[in-house]
Amino acid sequence: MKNPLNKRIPRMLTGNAGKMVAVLLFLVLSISLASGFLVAEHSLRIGYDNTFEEYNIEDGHFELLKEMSDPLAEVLKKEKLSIFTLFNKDLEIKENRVLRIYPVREEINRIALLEGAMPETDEEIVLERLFAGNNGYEVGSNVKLGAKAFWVSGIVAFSDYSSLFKNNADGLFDNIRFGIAGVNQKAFDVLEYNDLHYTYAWKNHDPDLTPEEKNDFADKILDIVKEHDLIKDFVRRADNQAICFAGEDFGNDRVFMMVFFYITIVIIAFLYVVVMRSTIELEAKSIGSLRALGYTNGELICHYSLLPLLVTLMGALIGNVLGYTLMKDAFIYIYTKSYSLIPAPVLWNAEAFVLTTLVPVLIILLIIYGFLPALLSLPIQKFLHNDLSRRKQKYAIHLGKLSFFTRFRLRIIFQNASAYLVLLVGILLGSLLMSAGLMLPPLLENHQQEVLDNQICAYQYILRMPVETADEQAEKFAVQSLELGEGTVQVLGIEDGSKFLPVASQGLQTGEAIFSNGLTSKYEIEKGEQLVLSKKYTDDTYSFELGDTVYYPAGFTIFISLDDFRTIFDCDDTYFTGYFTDHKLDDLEDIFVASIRTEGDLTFALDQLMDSMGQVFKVMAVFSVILFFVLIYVLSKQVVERNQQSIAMLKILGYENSEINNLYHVTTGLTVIFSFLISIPACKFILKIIFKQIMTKYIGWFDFYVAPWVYPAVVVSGLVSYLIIYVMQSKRTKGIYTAEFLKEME
Amino acid sequence: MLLEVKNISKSFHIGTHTIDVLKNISFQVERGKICTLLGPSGSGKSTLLNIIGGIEIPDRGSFYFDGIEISGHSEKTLGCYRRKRLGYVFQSYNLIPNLTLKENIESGAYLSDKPLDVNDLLYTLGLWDRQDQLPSQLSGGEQQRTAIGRAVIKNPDLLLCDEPTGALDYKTSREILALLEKVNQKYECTIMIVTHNEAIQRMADQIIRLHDGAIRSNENNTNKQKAAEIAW
Ligand SMILES: Nc1ncnc2c1ncn2[C@@H]1O[C@H](COP(=O)(O)OP(=O)(O)OP(=O)(O)O)[C@@H](O)[C@H]1O
Ligand SMILES: [Mg+2]
Repeated sequence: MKNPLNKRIPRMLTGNAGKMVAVLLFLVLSISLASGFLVAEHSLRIGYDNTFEEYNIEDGHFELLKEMSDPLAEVLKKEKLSIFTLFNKDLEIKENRVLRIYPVREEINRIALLEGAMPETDEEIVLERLFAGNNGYEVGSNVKLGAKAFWVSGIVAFSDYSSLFKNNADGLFDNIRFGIAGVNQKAFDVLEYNDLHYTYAWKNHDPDLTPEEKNDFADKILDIVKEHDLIKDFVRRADNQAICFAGEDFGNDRVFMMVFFYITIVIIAFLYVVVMRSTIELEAKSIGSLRALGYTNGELICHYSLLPLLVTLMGALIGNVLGYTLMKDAFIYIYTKSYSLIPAPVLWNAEAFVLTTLVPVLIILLIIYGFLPALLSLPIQKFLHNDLSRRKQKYAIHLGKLSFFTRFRLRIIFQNASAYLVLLVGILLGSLLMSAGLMLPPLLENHQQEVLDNQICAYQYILRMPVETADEQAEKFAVQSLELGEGTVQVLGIEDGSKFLPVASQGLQTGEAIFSNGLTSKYEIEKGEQLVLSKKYTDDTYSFELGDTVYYPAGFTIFISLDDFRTIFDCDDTYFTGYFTDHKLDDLEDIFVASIRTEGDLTFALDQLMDSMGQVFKVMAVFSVILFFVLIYVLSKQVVERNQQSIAMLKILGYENSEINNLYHVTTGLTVIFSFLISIPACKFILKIIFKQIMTKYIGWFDFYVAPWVYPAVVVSGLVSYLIIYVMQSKRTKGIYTAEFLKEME
Repeated sequence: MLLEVKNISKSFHIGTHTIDVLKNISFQVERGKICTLLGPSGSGKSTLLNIIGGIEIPDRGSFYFDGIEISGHSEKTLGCYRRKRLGYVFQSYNLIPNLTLKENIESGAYLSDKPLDVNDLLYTLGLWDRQDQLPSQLSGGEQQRTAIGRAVIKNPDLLLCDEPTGALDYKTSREILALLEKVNQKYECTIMIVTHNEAIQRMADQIIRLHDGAIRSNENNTNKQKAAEIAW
């Protein structure tokens, strides 16, 4: 027979409406965020993985100085690959806005049409989505390429440019100042340009080669091409950042996200336990008489767990619905703000369901059913006597000569210790989330400022070949990128007595190497230790002994003398890569200049990072404010409800509302403040550790920096949440009406 | 005259149904006296006491405390009245579960401008040895004595007791009555006791009987006995 007690459930639900709605909202928020994230990530990943076959993405490409010679074409024809022409032109269409234009391709690296139509006439152009969006172009807009006007017929995604890296060597992609466009062959042929790239892509005939075989095969192609023609660039697909970067970035945040999610779930479960406990305490006498009548413990456990169970299932249901709709779209929006991805249909994701619904529900059930039996298993007399304390406490803790109010408050804290503990843990977690969300933007800004303050020079010229300048202040340097694990280290050869680098002004000794601080911090290198680096695609290794560390936040760098550089890398005595200079060098012809790094390049990359990550930070901050709010609300309400009888009694005795608030709510407030006092130093400590962990995995290095306003902001938002709840709750104390209450008692 | 009740009426409405709980009640109580309010269950005793205690608001009529009209005032004024002038004791002791016995009594002392000495009172109540125990560790009689202590320590002008012995056994009930008598004599506080125990009236100065929400009789007890002499 159905347990008649369960008729109470709707009444319990309305009786606890405030708390339950708060917990439900929070549960919905957590589950929808987590499932939205996993679903978005999953469907983007599937979509991304599918592009390789669906859009026939190249196995690599190379760029020649001019069109391919016939002998090379002949030799390549005999290899097991197909060659596709992928010529493209770079054109500055506005100040600081470069478009790379391709003729529309049908075979290799196909284009996905997102909106509008592919170009048919000579006046039509399709633009890559991010560049178009960031620069205000839409279907129907006009674009001027040199003298010729085009109109945008469609918005597209290029399968070989999911991340918009202009050059494969660039540190970060740039989808504001750099874009891709497609026109028809006829329009392309007559197009003006700043740069024409004779690019050829290849596709292996055998799709099932292992990565090693692919690499060996690419080596072979490189040798063949080098033998016949002048080569400007050679990029295997695995090294092509424009193709691979997005894929590597997916799921980077996943572990982080899931850990926070599960901690949140555990906090919710404990909220339930605290709420259930106070319900049981309030109803102790009734429970006692029910047990006396013959109800079993099991029946009561069932009864008291029904409400949390209902709320949890409801939360899981709504959370999943929102996750698959709103949140998924939000996360896809965040990802597609950075990456030019080809959308994939949303797939039912069993893994996401298990991770964000099944596991959390199980965790909650486990905790509920772990605690409930213990709460209900006391002897019947204890319930009847309204004494649910577990300890054989003969005497109350002696509080000596403290003032009456202080002792009263301390008693409230002892009575509600478990609730306040949950509050403490929740505030710690919330502070952690929030300070993480708040600290990163200023950290990046700080890093950016530091990079600017410590940059070597205003312009860094990289040359295609060593050519002399007449400019006196320009200083020669040489650079070589080497590999260290996943990361890249620049080895810079500096002229003796360099005026750009104070460290080298005394002249660097032969064999002396100075490391940038990021490098020594990340890899924890001590003075005198050797660091072994390798050269990509070769077995060559180079070792450097740490002589000194210099503060240089721009990247992992080892500074050595130019002479050492030439010896170590086996170059001739006059070799150099480029110039450090204060101003532009006018006497260098453009064709010798490979690239110029300026201040803007340094900071732009970080602006970009901020732009794409900013949303996530905001979500974290908002989420933690909600966490504070829900926790403080539910727990302080719980404390009041648990003491309703006492509050009514205090009122009858003649206590004023303000005095009662002073006793109950101020106590909660003091606990909130105390929790923050503990949380902030703990946050500092934990964040430092987490940050270090993340940095060892990250390809670069940022110094740990928390802007001075971050922690105060966390505390203030917590206290403001508390104050709002205080106002709400003190209305409630007013509402505890004495006469009604006395009747209920009897 | 400490208390003057004039033409008080009170009804409750349940849906369309109206119960007239109190009908035109008038009586007076002198300072320093013990007054008992008797009547069968449902006759409106608790409701009347709660009106005098400022917990319930009458529909009609008024009452005066020390010559000042109390009825019809705001919740705030009523709170002040309870705080400064009254003590309250219930059948269920309603102690604050997480305060010790002594702290429960102190929660009353805090409210008063002229509280009695706690330690002295603890002796009077016979609770000195128990002062650090929590309510759940006390017997019913001890809890009731604590509840009386909490009300008395305020040194109130009027002590309202709603079935103070209702939940207690014979022996303990008599102890409580003796305590109330002691309080009345020692601290000169006026006491109103609601009860349906006919025997208790014998220790009272004034006996009021309610029936169906109306006063059936209101007389002075000419044959007042000591609490120790009462038996039933
Ligand atoms: N809030 C209320 N709503 C409706 N009816 C009420 C309410 N409070 C009391 N009553 C009714 O008023 C009547 C008198 O109640 P009251 O508690 O004053 O009786 P009593 O004389 O104290 O009885 P007892 O000796 O059983 O305690 C009862 O019939 C009760 O049902
Ligand atoms: Mg009654």
